[in-house]
Amino acid sequence: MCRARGAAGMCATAQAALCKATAGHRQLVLQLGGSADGPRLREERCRRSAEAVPHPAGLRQALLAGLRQGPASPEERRELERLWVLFLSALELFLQDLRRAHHLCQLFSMQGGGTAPLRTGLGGWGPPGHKGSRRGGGPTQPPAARCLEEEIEQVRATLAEMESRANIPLWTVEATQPVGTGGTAAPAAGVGEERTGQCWHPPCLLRHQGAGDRALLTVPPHPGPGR
Amino acid sequence: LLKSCLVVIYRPETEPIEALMMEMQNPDTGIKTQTQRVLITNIPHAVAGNDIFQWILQRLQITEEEALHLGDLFVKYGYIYPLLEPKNLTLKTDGSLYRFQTPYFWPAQSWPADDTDYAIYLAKKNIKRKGILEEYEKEHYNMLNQKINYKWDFVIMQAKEQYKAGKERKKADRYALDCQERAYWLVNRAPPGMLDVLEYGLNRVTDPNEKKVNQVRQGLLVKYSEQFLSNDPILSGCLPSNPWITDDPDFWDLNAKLVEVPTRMRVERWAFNFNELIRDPKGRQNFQLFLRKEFSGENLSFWEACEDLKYGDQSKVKEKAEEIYKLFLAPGARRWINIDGTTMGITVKGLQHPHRYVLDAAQTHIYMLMKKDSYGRYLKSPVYKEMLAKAVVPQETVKKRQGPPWGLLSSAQTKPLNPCEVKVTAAAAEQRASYLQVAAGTRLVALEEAGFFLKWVFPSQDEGCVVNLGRLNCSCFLKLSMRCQSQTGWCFFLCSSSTPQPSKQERGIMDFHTIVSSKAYFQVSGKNPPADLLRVWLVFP
Repeated sequence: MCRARGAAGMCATAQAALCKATAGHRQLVLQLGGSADGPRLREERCRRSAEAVPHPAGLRQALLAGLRQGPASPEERRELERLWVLFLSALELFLQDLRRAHHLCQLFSMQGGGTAPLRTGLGGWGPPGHKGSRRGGGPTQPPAARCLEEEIEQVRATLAEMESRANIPLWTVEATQPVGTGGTAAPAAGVGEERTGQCWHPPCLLRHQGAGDRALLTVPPHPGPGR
Repeated sequence: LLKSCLVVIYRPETEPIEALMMEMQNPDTGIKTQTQRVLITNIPHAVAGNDIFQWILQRLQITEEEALHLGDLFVKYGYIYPLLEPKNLTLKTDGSLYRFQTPYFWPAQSWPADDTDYAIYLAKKNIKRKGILEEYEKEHYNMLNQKINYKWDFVIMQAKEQYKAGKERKKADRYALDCQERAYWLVNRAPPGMLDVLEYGLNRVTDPNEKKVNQVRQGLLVKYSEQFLSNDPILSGCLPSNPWITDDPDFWDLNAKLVEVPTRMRVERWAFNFNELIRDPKGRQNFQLFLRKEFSGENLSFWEACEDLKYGDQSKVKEKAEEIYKLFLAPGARRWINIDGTTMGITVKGLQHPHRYVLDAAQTHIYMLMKKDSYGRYLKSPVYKEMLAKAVVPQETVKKRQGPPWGLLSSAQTKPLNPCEVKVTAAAAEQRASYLQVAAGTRLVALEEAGFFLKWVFPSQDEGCVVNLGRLNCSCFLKLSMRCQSQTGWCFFLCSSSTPQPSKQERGIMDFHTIVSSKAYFQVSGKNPPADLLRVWLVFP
């Protein structure tokens, strides 16, 4: 998903990557304490999290720079603000999941005998035939917990910094995506979204916020986000 | 109930239910699992409802009813979810299959079900099933789109990514993950018609934003208070005087039940509402005069007879009921009252086995009749107007004791103390009363006598003020209060005469303290908005 130019373009790419990493990470956290839980799952979680973590720093720099130096056009500015909000949202979700992971890892500690995970219907994580070993041993402070605590702190600090550095009122950002993509009722449906088939399109999409009366489905000034 | 499980594994961060859930997993003592077959896929770890039930029974040693209830709660709160009927969150004690919910989705966790998460879930469902959201889900979706529109792009993006991540898993896992998530949202955003244990979402039973006090009742209460304010002896005083204060019982004599001539306030009260009139024996007497002129005196008589039946000697209920029937209700009765056929039927039937409330229906009917029909005319009638004109307004007796009525602490004294030593007069600025001295630098705005309210204004926040109370014949309590004009409440600063520093600062009811000397010192300080008015109450015991 690249924009035609500049800071916004780079940011959008990074944003997409962050989103993907967050989603993958969440799916793993979901399984903590369940039948798929094990050292391998936790390693994988750590790996995904590590993938996600650099993005915030880079994105943050780019967005801040873009917003500070006065972007080329008001559209670019709006786009940067939009990305800013998306970035913030992704970080919040990511942080939320990190905290949950931390809690669950402690609740279902791998140490010693450990607590038997719940039989949730999922298969073990890892190559087929390998059942995650639960026997512990190893260092007193498991690396996973340390890893998590550091990550949490890092993301939290990033979020706090972002919120204090840029003063963007969230409500002024409008979504470019319609509620249901490829809806039949929308006349200006050339938003360029990926159509995933017949999706339900609720009748009321117009926002009534004060930021002008742009309808939700107007075509953005730039060509729609492509790949 | 759950204490027994705490004995076995208790860790501080684990909720008792969570501990139980974990115990259920034990390969030896836990619940045995089966495989669920969905078309051609096998998903492990299904448990039968009956097995859950039996396990709870055995483990906690409780009655069957309790065990069933507890198991049911596990399902309602989403610790266990049903496989075949996802929306039926009950525990069936047969072979119906359930599965354990993943801890991430446990309700006991300290994170509430997030709107953003729900939006992502619905968006995912939208993508997946090509737009098949249920009606209530569509409503939620639409509402959320407006509510968190600014992050809607994120919601869609994240939904797509999560959907893709799900597709990477093998089929059985994907199925289980979907079931888990669906189960979670059925608990946390319950569909309409389903009991919403957690009270979130559209069908929340109580509105979290609603003020707790019922607005209508509050309005009525305010109206009532306003209407009766003048009649309240505490708030408005009473004439000739409050017997508790002055030991003069005139007030009670003048307001006796069937006094010859009632007081004006009392007669005015009859006009407030019908209940006021009918509850006052004098009022009833006057009302009856009026009703006789309209030839409907039997209504009130009947009403009074019903009251007597209800509250009178209960050993005579049967006889009384019979008499009432003969006099008022029987066909051709001497004082026959006019009630509708249905009510008459109920009443007559009830009279076969009379009791104190047997005439309630008829009494209510007559009451409403009088209220809606006769009462209005009565208030405009000469009967009432004459009474109003005749009514007395007692003179205020001189022997009144002064002071805010509610500040009086002991009634043991027969001789009221003379508080006239402290005299204050309404004055312009700069005037000093004989017994009140204000320290230099304080701008005196006004002193007024209003039951000992003295007002003055501090020019600035940290100024102190010394009040010399002069000679007093008795000890008294000093009550200080300061009111910040910007606030509706009162800030109190209490200082003792011996220490110049404020000893206490309280809102609301204040402590009293005795003034040893005739000097009191107080100071305004602190970060509060500057006090505009200071009131000093001198309350005499």
